[in-house]
Amino acid sequence: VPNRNYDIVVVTDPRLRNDGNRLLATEVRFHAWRGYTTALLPLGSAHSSEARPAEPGLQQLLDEGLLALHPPDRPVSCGLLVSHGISHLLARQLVRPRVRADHAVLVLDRMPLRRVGGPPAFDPDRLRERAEELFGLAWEWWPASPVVREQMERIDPDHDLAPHDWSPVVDPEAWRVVRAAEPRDPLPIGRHVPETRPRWPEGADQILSAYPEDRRLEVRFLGGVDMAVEQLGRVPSNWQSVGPAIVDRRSFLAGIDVFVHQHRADLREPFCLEALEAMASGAVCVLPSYLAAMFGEAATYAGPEQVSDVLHALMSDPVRYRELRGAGHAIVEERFGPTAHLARIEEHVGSPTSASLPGLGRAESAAAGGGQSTVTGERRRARVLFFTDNGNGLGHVTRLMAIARRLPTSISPVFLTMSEAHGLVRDEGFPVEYFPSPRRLGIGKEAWAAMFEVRLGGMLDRVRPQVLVVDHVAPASTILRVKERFPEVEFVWSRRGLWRHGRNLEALDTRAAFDHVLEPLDVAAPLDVGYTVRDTDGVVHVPPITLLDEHELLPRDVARRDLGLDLSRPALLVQLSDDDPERLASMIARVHQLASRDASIQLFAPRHALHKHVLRDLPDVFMRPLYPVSRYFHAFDLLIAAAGYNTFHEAVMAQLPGLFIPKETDSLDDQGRRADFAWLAGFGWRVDSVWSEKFASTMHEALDPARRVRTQVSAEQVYPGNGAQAAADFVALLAERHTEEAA
Amino acid sequence: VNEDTGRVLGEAVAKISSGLYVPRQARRDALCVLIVAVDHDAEEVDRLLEHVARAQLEQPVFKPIFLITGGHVDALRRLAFQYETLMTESEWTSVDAGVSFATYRRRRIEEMRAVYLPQQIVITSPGATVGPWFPLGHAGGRATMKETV
Repeated sequence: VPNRNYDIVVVTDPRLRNDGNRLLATEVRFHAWRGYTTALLPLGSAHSSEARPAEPGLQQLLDEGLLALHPPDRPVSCGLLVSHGISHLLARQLVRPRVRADHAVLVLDRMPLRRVGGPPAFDPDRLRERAEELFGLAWEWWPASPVVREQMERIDPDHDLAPHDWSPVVDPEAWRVVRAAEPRDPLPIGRHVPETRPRWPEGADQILSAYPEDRRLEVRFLGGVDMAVEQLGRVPSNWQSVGPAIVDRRSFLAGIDVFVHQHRADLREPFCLEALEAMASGAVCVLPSYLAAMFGEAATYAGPEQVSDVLHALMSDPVRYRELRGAGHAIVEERFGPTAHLARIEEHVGSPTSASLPGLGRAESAAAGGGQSTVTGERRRARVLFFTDNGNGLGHVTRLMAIARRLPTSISPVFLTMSEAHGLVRDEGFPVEYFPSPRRLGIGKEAWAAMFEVRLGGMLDRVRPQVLVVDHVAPASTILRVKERFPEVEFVWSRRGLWRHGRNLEALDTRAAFDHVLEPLDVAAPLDVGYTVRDTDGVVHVPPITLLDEHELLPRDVARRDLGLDLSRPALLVQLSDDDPERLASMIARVHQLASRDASIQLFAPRHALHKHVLRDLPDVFMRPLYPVSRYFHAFDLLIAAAGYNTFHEAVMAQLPGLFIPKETDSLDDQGRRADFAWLAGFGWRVDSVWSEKFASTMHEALDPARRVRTQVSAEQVYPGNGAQAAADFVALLAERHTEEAA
Repeated sequence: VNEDTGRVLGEAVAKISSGLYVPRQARRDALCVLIVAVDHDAEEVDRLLEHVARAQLEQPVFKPIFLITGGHVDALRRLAFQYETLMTESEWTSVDAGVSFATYRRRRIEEMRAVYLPQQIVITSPGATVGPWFPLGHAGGRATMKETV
């Protein structure tokens, strides 16, 4: 093992958020993956006078321990010293670095001319002198691309440049996006450049030529669009823009088929990292002709005037479109991927001093808003993200847990929920994050939808699931935009029926965001008059979903002992809910008052997960938190409950007769029809309030043992079984299919 | 261009209430402070919440958004504070997303910043105090604040 502190020391101004530091971060990940140790020696540059933290990608490497931070005034030895960029070499430094290196490489990633035919951007002799004086080392000069080399040879023909370029790098796996075989129509094209250097073609005509106002095109921009709009004096009808703080680069690229990069005629870019990332994502690139020296046949080349023709030609020639995509992937792998970079590192440094860390270096790539890769050589589990509605309730989240707990172990479920009972999800063993509902935040749904777009996008970006399952009766409209950003993720809408008549039609507009609709059936479906009845094309129906299967319910005696109930006396389960704990307490007290006319009756009222500390104790009523309550259903002779989907079907499954009280709220769920169906089918009763005159007589009628037998037979006849496993099988099929395709 | 998501987000955040002591009409001008308390256990979170509630009572000029770990939310609900949650390290590892916990945690905080657009972010450790915040005056109709501790 060579006697050195690190294999590689990189010198840069880490505060700069530029391409050089982004590339450096990717290179360091490759080093770690191969087992090379890397240290960062920070120097200040003249380019930024701001006091600000390190570029996020570099900071992340420091956090991860994949990059060591070495004080610039302390001695250090290494096999290779690499300087990306020159600004820190030209700036005056407070300290003089003390680096002992076998090789020192200066990567020229800046154009030597300010513009085509213009003055030099720096003095090569001064740079050479300054770099050698600062470090006491002779540097090899490596142009970052043929574009840089060509200008460098022009301004300093006598300077020896390295025979090869130090090409920019990307992690192909981090950027790759699963795409359709043919371009979309209208064709989504896009451009993204930093806000600080928008570099648009000159004049309104050239801008509109390069990014045409054409009904067959959707033109999207990630940042930097203000200057163009200012020049045009208006926003073209097919232009859309989003800020880089909202959408990361990979997600943006996933939403476009063609990356069009056009700029001023007198400008040259050293390598166009944006195009390289686009190519790695599978987008076809339309670039200025000088970049052919960099990308060869992997892109198509045009000036602003030819862009429109090129785009229409691509739309009508899917074979050419696919060829360009394939060529893009190939050149990224061969010339700009880890293999090429590690070969030049090995040439300078030899073998790494530490063991290779398969996957570690690459799994975190492109931290500052880029992609994230699969771990090389390992096959990770497929992931399914479950997103659920619910604020104070548990219905949606319970339904999705019913699916999640039945997924095969090869699939990793994770939850994002609006239910404040997220602790229950965690208790059931599922990773979960909580995001507040509009009601909890005290804001309108439209305002919340903007927050939701960022929040769900962020979650998808972190988790990179194969499937997203949304259980929500009215998904926010912004989910359409989230889907555009993540076309490779299968969006499934878990949508129960029995909507109130004439309600929620607008929610069906969001169906376009979903690849599939999964509808857990309702045994009351014969009475369903909601809009879902008319929207059945392509809908996957499964039997009603409940969290537990029948065999998971506790036997009567065991359940009663657990709950502290007498084994021989009749027992009532009161499972009512109300946002106001006092109102809920008075409803339970009312049931108790009526039930206590028969001294033998015992009453159990489970404390809701979110009310457990605010609902006061009631005399002679058994009360305690319980989840899931249905596990104890066999302990009871009668259920008094709202007619919500979950409790209703759990009662049918357990053949527990119920007095169903439809919630009086204006919710979409048509509980009245569900309660009516219980009566029509013979396994329950509808009562509209515990305060009604009918309530007491119905309750006593329902407790008649002869009635009990008839209700059990009725429930058995209508119950088609638990559909949770069928739903889980469907979701698993989607997740595993995607995983295999990606592999 | 067609939709300024940042502007919509800003409007949304301005309307959010958090805590019992900022008057309804003062929500818009209140300073939004993201308080990251992800290393706290349930008791430590409760202590922090009582402390922040007291600070808000004394200076009803800020609305905190908490990022916590775990499902212990009774005090958050009682004090009407807004919050979101972070997974524990073992939970995140079980997701198997190929991203380390440190990165997950960093990105989660960045996401909170993107969603709630806080003017200040406080990353606090168990036992440490935060705030108080005092108004320094008004600039452009919005209170400007300074953390003094």
